[in-house]
Amino acid sequence: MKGFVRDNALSVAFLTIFVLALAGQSIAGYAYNNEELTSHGQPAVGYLEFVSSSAFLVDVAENWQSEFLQFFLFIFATIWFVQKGSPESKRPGDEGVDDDRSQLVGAYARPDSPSWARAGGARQWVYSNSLLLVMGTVFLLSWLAQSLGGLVVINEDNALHGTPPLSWAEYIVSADFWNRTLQNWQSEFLAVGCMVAFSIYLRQRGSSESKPVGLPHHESAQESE
Amino acid sequence: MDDEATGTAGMRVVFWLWMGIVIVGLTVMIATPLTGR
Repeated sequence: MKGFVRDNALSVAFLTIFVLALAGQSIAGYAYNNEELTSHGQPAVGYLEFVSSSAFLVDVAENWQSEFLQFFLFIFATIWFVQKGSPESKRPGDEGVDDDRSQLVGAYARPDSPSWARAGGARQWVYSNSLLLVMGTVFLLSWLAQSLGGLVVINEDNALHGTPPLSWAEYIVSADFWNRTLQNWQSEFLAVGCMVAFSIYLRQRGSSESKPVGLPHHESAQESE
Repeated sequence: MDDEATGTAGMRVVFWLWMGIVIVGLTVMIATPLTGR
């Protein structure tokens, strides 16, 4: 058990803070939701009813979709675009999907390479793009979840105000849907841009997200040396 | 189980743990609004 925690500390640490943050969000959201309901003369709902409602889930989904979009775009962009001096980037001139030799695929696979890296054709293509495919799929499904949850929430609100309900097609072009979407996207893009740019000149000793402290500013990454 | 086997098993556990969270989360977040809740 001790060895498991040591070898997987990064995953375990983030799992712990993920669960705590989600629990905290559910408690704060429950309190806020009941304040809103009572201020509109509606009866308060129970905690379990709240966490299994679209009012809670749409807030979770809108953050999930933007995070997975962030990673999807970052993984995709770092294939084709570089930032001179950033440890998040390959060196200028290294743009593209690389050759089979440096990617250890097909005839260049090692004996201990994943079997789909050794295989040719569709299996190798799927495995070569599997991270992007999974991140992109989770992004699209989270965005779908946000649209479905948001529709239920806005139609509950419409019912309270005697406004006719929206269809899903109407909701996904509505101001509410795009306000929820873009307020999350802008912060993700800001954070990625800052990380790429700040890490050219700033360092964190010991972090895999940083260049070594003494590496010159103009060097992108040691791996591509 | 030797060190290497334990390390590989641990990697598999964390991979499927996170994948499970995502799959369950997406299923709940898509299915719940479809039931009108």
